[in-house]
Amino acid sequence: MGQSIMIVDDSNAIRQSVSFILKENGYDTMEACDGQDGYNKLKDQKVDLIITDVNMPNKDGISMLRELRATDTHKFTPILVLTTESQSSIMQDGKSAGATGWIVKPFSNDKLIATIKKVLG
Amino acid sequence: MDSNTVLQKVINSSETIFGNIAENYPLLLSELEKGIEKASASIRSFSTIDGMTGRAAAENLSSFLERSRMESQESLVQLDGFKEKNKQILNQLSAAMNEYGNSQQYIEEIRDISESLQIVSLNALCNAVKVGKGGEGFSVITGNLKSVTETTIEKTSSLEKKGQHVSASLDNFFEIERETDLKRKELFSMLEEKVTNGISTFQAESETIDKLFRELSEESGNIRQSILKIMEELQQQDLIRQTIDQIILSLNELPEECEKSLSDSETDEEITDRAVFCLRLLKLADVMLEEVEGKFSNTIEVFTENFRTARSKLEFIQQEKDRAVQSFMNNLQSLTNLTETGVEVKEETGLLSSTRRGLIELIGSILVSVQGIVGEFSSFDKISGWLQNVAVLSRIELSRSMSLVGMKESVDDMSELVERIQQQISIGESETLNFIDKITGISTEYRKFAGKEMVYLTGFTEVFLSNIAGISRVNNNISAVLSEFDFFSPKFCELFDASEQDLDQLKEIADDLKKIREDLKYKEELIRPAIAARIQGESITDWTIADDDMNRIIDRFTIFSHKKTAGEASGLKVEDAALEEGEVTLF
Repeated sequence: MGQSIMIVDDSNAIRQSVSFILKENGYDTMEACDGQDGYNKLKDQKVDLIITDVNMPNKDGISMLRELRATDTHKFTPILVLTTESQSSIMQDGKSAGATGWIVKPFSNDKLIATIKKVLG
Repeated sequence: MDSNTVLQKVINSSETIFGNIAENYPLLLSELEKGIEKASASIRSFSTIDGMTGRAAAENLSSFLERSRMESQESLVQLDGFKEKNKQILNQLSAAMNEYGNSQQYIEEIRDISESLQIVSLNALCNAVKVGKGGEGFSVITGNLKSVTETTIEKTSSLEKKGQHVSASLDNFFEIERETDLKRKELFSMLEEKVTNGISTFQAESETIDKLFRELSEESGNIRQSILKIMEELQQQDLIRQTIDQIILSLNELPEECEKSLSDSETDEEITDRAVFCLRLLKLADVMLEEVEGKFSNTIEVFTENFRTARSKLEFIQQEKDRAVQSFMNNLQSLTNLTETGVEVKEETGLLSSTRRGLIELIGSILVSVQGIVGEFSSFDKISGWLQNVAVLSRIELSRSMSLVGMKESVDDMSELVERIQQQISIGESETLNFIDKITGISTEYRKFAGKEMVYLTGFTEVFLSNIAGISRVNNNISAVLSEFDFFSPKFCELFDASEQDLDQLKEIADDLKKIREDLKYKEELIRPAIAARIQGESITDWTIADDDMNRIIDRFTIFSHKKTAGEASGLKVEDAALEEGEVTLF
């Protein structure tokens, strides 16, 4: 069984394409359609990595990140933010909330996989 | 429908279409991989036969063909051995026949002597009649002698006919033998040629198709690259959606019927401020929509180009595959012909065995005929006794009557001729018995040889037919596998066709974006003359408004390139981005 990765994004296309690339590379994936859905699914569920968007309805990615870091389950889970946000101030917010890394969309599949491998060691 | 409703429709439609692609393409790839895997498995093993698995049909079939060829070749060697033995037997038969032919001269000799004896006895009879009463007894004797010699001459004719019959039967035997030998040679040479041709054709064709299928298999893998590029491009939908969302939010801030607000009760300055804001917002929306339209077109182009590449590869692979399969199937006809040869071999070897049986019967009947000749010789024994008696009686009669003194010379001649006939009969009988002994020995040997050859031919036919059945099974299996062989499953083709329809729908969405821009332009055109008139009325050249609202609106754009474009459209400076698109920062 491969390492497990949760993908949180309100875009179905993004979730599907990221999930496909990850599966192609041997990872197991789970999906959530916004920050709230992500938090609900993750609060008691351990995963190896979380990939989240920032701008989402119901709960944004940075709020979810902050809440997850407050749980024992995800205190140390690597969390990569995959977003269109390129402003350093917002990236700093993500970093303060406990993000492990920041990837600006659009991304290349190869770069995404290389980053995941690096983060998962 | 107002612009925002249409924009929302664009978001929903694009989400649906991109979602479809996102869901279908992994399936498409999976189907492609399954197809390639199945095709590769088929290439690795065209078929299985008699429990043999995992070997390419080329090897299976080649081994069958090779075995059949070896057996045909071995048969030629074996049959050459048989032929050699047959030749020896036939030589012996021929020698015996020649010897027997010589013995026929004794029959002629007997006849010649008998004819002389007939003349001598006739003269003696005339002389005895001339002597008168004293020669009466002698007349009776010579009369009897004449009658015996006539019988002897008749017997020699009968013997001669029987000898000629034996001779003709042997000639017939040799003729059939020659024809059989020729047919056998033709059959096995034909077999070797057909099998050798079958092997070389099949091997060449299977190597060609194997090579081509491997190339096509690799080529079909390239379709994957196109599909992966399309998958990567899917994330553009998220970017487009976010920008359209922000355009909708921006347009929501557009005062309702802003062109009419120019004539309401507000101050001129307020009204002009609002009108200019409206214009700027419309311009910003237009520029952003142009940006979205550009991204959309670019995405459609990426999709179309990769789809076209995939489609052309797919069609090329299908065409090449169909062409190769057709050519291979046509060439498999040579193997079908080979299986038909099996029937021919069965018939021909059956015919050879049946001819051989006929020859055994023929040699048996020759033996019977020769035995008949021996039987004839036993009747000569009787004639020989009569002649002896006549000779003795003639001498007695000669000694009894002085009047017959002049006949002494005739009696001596008769005695000598009788003695010679007896000698010839004895020689002829002995030669014929000798011939019987030889032909009996040859016949026994021939039966043994022919029996062995028939057993061999039966065995060979069984093995050959079994190989041919093997070839036929492999042939059928290959045909079945090839007729179903495909790199692309029906599911793959169905998904691929559905993707083409998705592309058409995306093009329709791009048209919707164009229409919204036209609508915004129309609104802009309505406001612009009123503002121009107002500005002209105030005798000023330009009108500036507070930038706070525009800054707030521009700030909403998260994608830096869009934000920058929005800023430029509104004449506002946008702070440079900290991060580039696709940039990765690890904390």
